[in-house]
This record gives sequence, structure tokens and C-alpha cells, in this order.
Amino acid sequence: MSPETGTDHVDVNPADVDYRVPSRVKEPWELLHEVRASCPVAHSELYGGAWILSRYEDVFATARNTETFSSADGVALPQHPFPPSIPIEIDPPEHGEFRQALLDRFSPPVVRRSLPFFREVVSDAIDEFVERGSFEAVDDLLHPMVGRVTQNLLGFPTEDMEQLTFWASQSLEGGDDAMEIVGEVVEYIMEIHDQRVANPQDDIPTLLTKLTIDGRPINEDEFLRTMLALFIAGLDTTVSAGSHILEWLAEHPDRRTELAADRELLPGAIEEFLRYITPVPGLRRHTTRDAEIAGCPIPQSSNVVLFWMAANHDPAEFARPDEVDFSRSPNRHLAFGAGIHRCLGAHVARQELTCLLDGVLTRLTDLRLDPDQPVERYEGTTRGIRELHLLFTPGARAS
Amino acid sequence: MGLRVVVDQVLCQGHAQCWMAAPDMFELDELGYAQPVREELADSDRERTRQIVACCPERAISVTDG
Repeated sequence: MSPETGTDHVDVNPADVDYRVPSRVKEPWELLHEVRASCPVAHSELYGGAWILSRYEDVFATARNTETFSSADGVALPQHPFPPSIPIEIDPPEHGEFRQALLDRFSPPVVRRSLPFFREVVSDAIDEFVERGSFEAVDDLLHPMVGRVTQNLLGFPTEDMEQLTFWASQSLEGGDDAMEIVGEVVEYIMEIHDQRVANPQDDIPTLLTKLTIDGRPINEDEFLRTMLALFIAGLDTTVSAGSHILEWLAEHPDRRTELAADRELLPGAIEEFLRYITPVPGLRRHTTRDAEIAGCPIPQSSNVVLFWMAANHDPAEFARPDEVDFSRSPNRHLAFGAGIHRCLGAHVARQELTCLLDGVLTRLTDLRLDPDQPVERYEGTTRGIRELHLLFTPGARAS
Repeated sequence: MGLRVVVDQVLCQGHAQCWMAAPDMFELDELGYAQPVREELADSDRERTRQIVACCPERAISVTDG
């Protein structure tokens, strides 16, 4: 019996380890513990074959070793349909130059300047349904929130917000028309490029049109791939975090009351939700040479999965890892990754989630799941909730 | 006997956990990298400093006597 997890040790067949199970299953804690305990460096045969790392210390060390474990061959497994994104899917030395150029748009002091706007975005979305006493969180609250934040962050026209959100939600679910949508998004981004070259603004697309790397201006392909990363990376990830948090709060009324009554708990609670939920359960690296992890040899050109979610529930790093502790400290979770590819948008995401929860906790009292409309999940690189129907006591519009 | 606090600027990746936990002890530059507000702290800050050091996901903060 494992004292931490309370389960009998189960023999897991490494070949069958599926790191995308958390994308379909709400609380796969037992599976994570079984995998980590029996084969912490598991050679899975799924997705073309990959070594799945599930211990915190191995995931952390591997994320930091970018020379051996490269991102340039893509970090999604299975591959996403977009061109390789920048700076996510490039390695040093170019990686550092692109990332440095963007950092000052994403630092906490700079992100904080948009706080009133983020609050307004949440408030406006809630106003649309607050008198109804019911809503579908993904379409009614989370898509408008991430759509408007992204549109504002990237300098896209306000009137394009709905189209952008639709494109994002369709392309990432990977349906039959995913490639067609990728084509439309690419065309849209290159139109923005041409507009900013003709008419510079104080925004990220303009910054990119003027960016030089290694002494030369970036080309249109690099512009596209950077804009794609910034556009895509903050959409389904943030929707995933928000939807899973709202689902949990709807299911745990006492904890919701605790949080509503003491907003000082909110920053710690958001970190804890990010750890517990881990919206992006795992990402891939590719070995550039023969490697070894925890004594296990891994050949050159292998897929290695940094199983962030398993690391986030590793009892060697987090006491009582399957409990949500709003005051957990330290909380060095890996929901935003670690090392040079640490999520650039982390502070934007935190601010969105803070405003989301503040708005929901204040205005949507007695939040609960609609018993007649079950939660619908979908599988992707991000853990997907497609529909989350919630009820609450009707309230008044703010404006 | 005081403490010296240093943030390794190569390891720091701007998670800002130190700043969130102790904005009086750590400040961020415009790029989001952290620096101690004061490099030398009193011995009475030892326990609190130890807790904040443990918060850094990159283990970028070190504390020494001196």
C-alpha cells in the first residue's frame, strides 16, 4: 500500500502509457502515481513511440537541458497542423533573441497596466448572462475573455475578435477543416503584417516587423511563426484553466465560499489550481544525441515527453499532491514549464484568471453544475472542456 | 551576522514567484527578471528568506552568510 496514494502497487505496461489520458479524464491521479511508481521513464509505443518522464526531478532537469532535448522538431505530440512556432519551437541561440525582444510586453509590471481592461472584459461578458441565472462558461465567458485579451495584446482590430476566437477554437480541436482554418489564420496574420509595414503602430506586430535577429531583419515566415505562437498559445490554454477551475468551484461549494470570503487567497489558489489541473499535461522534446535519464538510455532522435501533470502530482515534490491547498507554499509547479521556454504569457494568464475568479465569485452566487447538461470534454494538447453548463442565482448587470 | 541574497540572472526565467511571495524583498525589472531589493538582509529575516528561496522554480536564488 502506498501511504501517499493509498493504492496497491500496480504493474503498468510501459508500452501502453498514454500521456494524453488527462486530456479525456478529469482526475487521473491514480494512473499518474502508478506510472511514476512503476516506470518513471516509460517507453510508450503510442504516438509513434516516446519516453514519458513522470518524476518532477527528471522533468525539471530535462526541461533545462535544451542542447540534448530540443524543441526545434516540434513540441506537440501528435504534431499540430501549424508551421513551427517561434519562440516555442526553436532552440538557442535564435531562441534567446526572439524571446528577449518580446519579454518586456509580458512582464508582470507591464501586464498589470492592463488590469482595468481585463476586469472590464470579464464584467462585460458576465453582464450578457447575469440576469439569466444560467450560462455555458466556454462560449459565454471564457472565449470572449481570451478573445478580447488576445486581440488587445496583439493589436488586432476589435471587430475581428469573434472571428479570431472561432478560428482558434476550431483549429485546435483538430477537426477535418483544421487545415483550411490554418490557411485562413495565416492569411489574416499576413494581412496584419502588410498593414503594419505600411502603417506602424505601438504594438507587437509592428515590433516584429522591425525586429532584427543575428544582425538581419526577420523575414515574413519568421513573422508569421511568431505571431502564430502568440495568437494560439494563450487561447485554449487559458480557456482550459478557466473552465476546469470553474468546474471544480461549482463542485466544491464550501471551498468556493472560503475563497469568496477571503480574496487574499486568490493568487495562491490560482497557482494551486494551475498545479492541480495542469492545463497542458505534457509537451515533447526530441533528443539531438544519445541521452540518459535516471539510468535509462534514450537514443538520438527519440521523442521524450515532459509529463508536466505527473510532475505536478509527484509526492516527492508536493505533499498530499492530489489535494487542493489554497495556501500551498512552496508551489514550484510546472504548469507553465521551466527553463528558457517558460510560458511567456504566464503573467497574462494569471491576471486573466484572477479577474475571472474575482468576477465569478462576486457576481455569480451559488454557482453549480447544471444537472441536465453534462460537461463535455475533448482531447487535445491542452485538456479540453468544450461545454460547461452552470447555474447561479440571477443578479444585476454592472452597466 | 547577516545574509547575502543573490538572484542568478542566467537561471532566472521571470516566473516572479519570489516577487509574488515577497514584493518587499524582490523587485522585477521591465523584462520581468527578479533582483533582491537589498542584497544584505538581517539574520532575523533568515527563516522567511529560506521559505522564499524554496519558491523559485528555477532554483535561481541563493542565500549565503556574510
